[in-house]
Amino acid sequence: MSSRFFAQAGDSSDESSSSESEAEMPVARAPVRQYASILEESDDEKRVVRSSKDKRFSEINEAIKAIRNAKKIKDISKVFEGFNSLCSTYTKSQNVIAKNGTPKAFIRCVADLETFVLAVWEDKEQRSKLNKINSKALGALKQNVRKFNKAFETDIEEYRKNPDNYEEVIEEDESDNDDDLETAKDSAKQAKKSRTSSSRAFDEDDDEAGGDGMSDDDSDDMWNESDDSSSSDDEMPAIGYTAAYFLKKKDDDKKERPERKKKAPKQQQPRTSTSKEDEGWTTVSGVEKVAKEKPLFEEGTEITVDVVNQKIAELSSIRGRRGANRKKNIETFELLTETCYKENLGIPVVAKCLYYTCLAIFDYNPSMSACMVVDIWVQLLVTLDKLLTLLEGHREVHFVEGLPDEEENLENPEKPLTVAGSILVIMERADDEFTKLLRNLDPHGTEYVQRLSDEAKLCVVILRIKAELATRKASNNEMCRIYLREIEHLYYKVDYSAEKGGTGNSKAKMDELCKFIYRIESSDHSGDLDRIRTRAMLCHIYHHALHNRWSEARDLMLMSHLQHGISHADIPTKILHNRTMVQLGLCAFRNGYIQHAHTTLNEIQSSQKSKELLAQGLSTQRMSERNLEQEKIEKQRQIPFHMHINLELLEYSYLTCAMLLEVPHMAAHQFEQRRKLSRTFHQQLRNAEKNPLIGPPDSMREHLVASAKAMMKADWKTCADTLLAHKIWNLMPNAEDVKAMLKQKIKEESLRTYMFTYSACYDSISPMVLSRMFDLSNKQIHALISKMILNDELKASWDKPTDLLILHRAESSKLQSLAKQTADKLTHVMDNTEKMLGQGTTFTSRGNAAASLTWPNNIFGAGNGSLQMGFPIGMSGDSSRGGHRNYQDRSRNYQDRSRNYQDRSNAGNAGYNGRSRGGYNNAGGYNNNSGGYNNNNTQYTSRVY
Amino acid sequence: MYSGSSGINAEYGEKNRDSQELWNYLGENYNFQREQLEDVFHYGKFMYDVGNYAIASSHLDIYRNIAPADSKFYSSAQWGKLASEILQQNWDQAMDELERLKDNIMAAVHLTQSEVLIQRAWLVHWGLFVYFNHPQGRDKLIDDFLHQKTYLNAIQTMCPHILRYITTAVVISKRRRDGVKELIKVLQQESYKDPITEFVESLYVNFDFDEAQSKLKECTTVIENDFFIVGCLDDFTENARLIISEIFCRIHQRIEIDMLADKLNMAPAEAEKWVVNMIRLAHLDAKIDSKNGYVVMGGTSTPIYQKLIDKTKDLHLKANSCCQKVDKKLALGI
Repeated sequence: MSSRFFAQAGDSSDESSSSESEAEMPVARAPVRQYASILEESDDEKRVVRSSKDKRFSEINEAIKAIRNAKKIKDISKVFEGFNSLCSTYTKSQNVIAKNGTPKAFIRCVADLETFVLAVWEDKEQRSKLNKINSKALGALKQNVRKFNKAFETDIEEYRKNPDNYEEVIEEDESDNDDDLETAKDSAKQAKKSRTSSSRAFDEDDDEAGGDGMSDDDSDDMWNESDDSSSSDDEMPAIGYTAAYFLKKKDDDKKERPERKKKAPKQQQPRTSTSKEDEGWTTVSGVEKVAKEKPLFEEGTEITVDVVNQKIAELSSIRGRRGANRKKNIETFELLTETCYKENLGIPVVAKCLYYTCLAIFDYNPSMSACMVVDIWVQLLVTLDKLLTLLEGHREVHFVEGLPDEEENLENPEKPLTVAGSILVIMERADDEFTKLLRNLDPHGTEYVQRLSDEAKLCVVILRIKAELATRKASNNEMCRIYLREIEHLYYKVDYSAEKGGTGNSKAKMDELCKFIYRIESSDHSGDLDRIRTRAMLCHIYHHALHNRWSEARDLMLMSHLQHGISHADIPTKILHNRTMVQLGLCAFRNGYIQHAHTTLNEIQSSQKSKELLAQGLSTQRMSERNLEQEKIEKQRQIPFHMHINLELLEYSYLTCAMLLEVPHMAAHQFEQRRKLSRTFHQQLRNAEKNPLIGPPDSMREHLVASAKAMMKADWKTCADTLLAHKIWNLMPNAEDVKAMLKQKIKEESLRTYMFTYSACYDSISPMVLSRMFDLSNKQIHALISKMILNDELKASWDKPTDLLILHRAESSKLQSLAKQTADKLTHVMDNTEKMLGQGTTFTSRGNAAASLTWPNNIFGAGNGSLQMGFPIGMSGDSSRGGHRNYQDRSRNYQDRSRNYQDRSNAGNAGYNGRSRGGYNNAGGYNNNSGGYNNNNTQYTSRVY
Repeated sequence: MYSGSSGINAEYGEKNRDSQELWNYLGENYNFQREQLEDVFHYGKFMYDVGNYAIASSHLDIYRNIAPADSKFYSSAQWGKLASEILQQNWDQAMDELERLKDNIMAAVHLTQSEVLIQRAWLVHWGLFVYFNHPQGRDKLIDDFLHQKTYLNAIQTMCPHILRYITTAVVISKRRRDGVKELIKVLQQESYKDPITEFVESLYVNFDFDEAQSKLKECTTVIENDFFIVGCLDDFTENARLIISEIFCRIHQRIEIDMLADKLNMAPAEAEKWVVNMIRLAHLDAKIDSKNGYVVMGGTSTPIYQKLIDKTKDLHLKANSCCQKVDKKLALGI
């Protein structure tokens, strides 16, 4: 496996790959120096191996120090900052504190702080002198401190009684950190028996034993030279494969070892870059900038588990520091891994080394937002793969998340072998990095496609981890996480085999994966599991919708009550929700449920922010609305290109829906500008009217407007031709069916438009004529018109003996319809007034007067004002910002507005929740769904019963 | 021994369930201890298995009345009681049991959502026995299943096939109008289909009378073969015809009687009689033109002026009452 990675990655990387195999040897040695140099430095820099306890405590101490300093200069805002960081450190180290007790320095600091704050607060004169920031901070600080200190009341009390007691301890705490270090090490030593010298002693050993291996000077020379010769190779990532190489060819390695020793003297000679060997050497050594190097372990030192452990701790302690060569760090860990292998230190240690290699790779990037270099990512995958292979071979080794370093068991075979860390976390980060990687590539370049092919490998790794976790009986949470990862790599992919009528593999797969997650009852409703479930469900719905399974998708959406909770979800989940809703809308559209499609898509289209809402790029016109910071954050949320939903297609589908609904609606309500179903559609119409010259349609919108115009004249043929001429329809799956459906709909709606518009001109009309006009069968005409009659849309009736449609003159004139409207509004006002008076005393007479003054204005004056009242808030609430949230709010309206959905979601609401107190009420949603799922089976049992 | 204790029911009703007083009483008079309570249930279950439903029923009733609501067999006893009533064909009692069970399910706090759902689905299925045998059952079925969201949702989620029975009940019901709209919505949401639901859909959604007629024929076979609704066949056919003719008449001005007869699956003479009957019973505002063999519908929509007047008529009254209120407030308040 890894060798395949290796080969492929090599191909895609730079031309240097040919010399890689040679390059690896020196790497093996190079970091050896690096380690020693770190150790040397550590003499004065106190590079410390600290247990988590010490780490936490020193963090606390640091925060305390910061507070004290700020207090001295009376910089309240600094004090506040310091206090906040102290609080957060405290909460972070809760478990350590629980074990060791609250540090006295902490108590002292907190108590002093309180006195300090109170003193400043009391000192009115001084307080007035404070600048705005500081006085604000003071208020906040005072409150926070008081709240925070409540938890330590007794301790503080005690401290106040005899502060001396605490004084000493603090002194001790703050004294030389080296002491700390010593004690930490001592404890480590006691726990693990083999190692005898403290790290400082070890360092000295290093120095003394320098002569055993290579002499310092020699190596210095050598590295200096190589620096010069190849500093330009710095960015070359060729060393990425060293570990893989060593692992795979362990045997070769051993053979080569003596050889390498022979080579060593050669290196001392000045070299030219002509010889093959030297090329290898130089390539890598360029990375090693630090000149003073020594071997990783002193030759002669017995390499034991403890030594390695020590080393790992040491190395990881410099993680994230400035100036640490991150690349070299990776190499060092790889070397360490290899050493462990050679020394047969046992699988757990190797696993740990590999684990830390992965961590080092993650550290390679200075910031979280930047994306990884491709080769580094590949290296990560390779390392992960190796770690996985190792674990698959050795089921007895366990990774335990959150295990303190001291409790690891790396060698004692009697107890379960445990390593601190989580392979799942590594995988998740690798996955995230992959997304980041894709996000930062040009989606139209070949590189993108190449990277995309790596997804398959990533999926394989996910599957293997899944299997591994399953055999190791991982916790539900972990299983869900890995399942979710798999789902998220699956849900947006179209299963073409299913479309051709074959049995869709991905459907079954998706069902299986999602149901696994649904089935797991979250005992305590932990947010994490809920989130996973929500996401899984959204993906499931998305997948259904993508494959045209409308009723399944809709049922799942409605049953799950997702829309209630989604406004509290995190933003990525909201984005997923938006994507799902859009996909659901498109699915409804393809299936001919125009009304549903319209209401679903209206949410996202009417905001004009579909790009942001779907995280598919930032719309340019709104650049001014966000600052750089926001833009950066939004960029980090973007969905990689291959998962995008085609926005043009989305808009065209939406507008088509709007047209099909709106045009007959407009015809039916000619005189009343009452309810506009789709503002976006009207906007398009208005925009088109502004054009002085209307040419043949070219763009998507022009096509739409042209066809809408045709439909208004009930000219279905032109309408259909224009609308369907646009080639964007070909992007729809099963485009032909969709086109046929649309054609049919256009005919029907054109007929309706025609009847609304021109029925007043007829006394009677033959269905035969209509049938010819609209190319619909007699039966269809009959059904459509009957429907209109029954719904009171058309005043007419059939005369069977003559087979004619007799139209009753019921069409009202403009005056009549306006009179009707006025009457309606008057009744409305009356009702409102009554309601108000009915409410009784809360209104003062003034309030009443004001209210009654404003209403008539609305009615007779700017009539629109009151007309708009009927609209749900979502529609007119365009002004709200904060893109995603905005949509969420609307999505609630989604239920209210669409008539058909409403019933069902009411079903969700009132049904499951509303009436029954005990049962569904507390459901919150998801469990219902899982209920729904399990029930598929129980349906049969209950029937049998 | 047990049969004698059924009298306690009267003396110690629901209120005293599981009270010390009750147990003292039982202990003194019948030498009945708490430990024996489960035996009552088991005996009831045994009798049920044997087929002696009357005894099973009475014992389960005792158990249910005495045992605390959270005891192990409480809900089993409830279901057992319902089953025995059904098997004895005591429909009134069975209906009461159904109501009790419903309340219990609603009040059950210890059940998870899915369990509640399953219980509801059970109830829906068992209820079919009762609803289609009890005289008021059909209306009750509409009230319980169609108008109560909890049950409608349980049906939609778990057993859409129940829609057939709801549809049948709606068609038969006298108070059809309120039900139909609701039903149509549900039917359109669900993918479940059978001739009966398709009949309703073809009438109310597609307005395709030919299809409706052919579905009606299919319905006959379906109903004949359905255990629950086999008794409703005549009712169903009669009402189905009524629905067809109702809709038919609403959208037509003149219809040939022959054609109507054809749509209604009747002979022309029979159909004429039927129409006459309808007119006489004021179901239909129409007249028969016997020369040409037409039915002519009467009455068209009200003119717009009338509508306007109707709308604004009460405004005056309302405004007056508002004025009075305002006056009153002014006098009282400021």
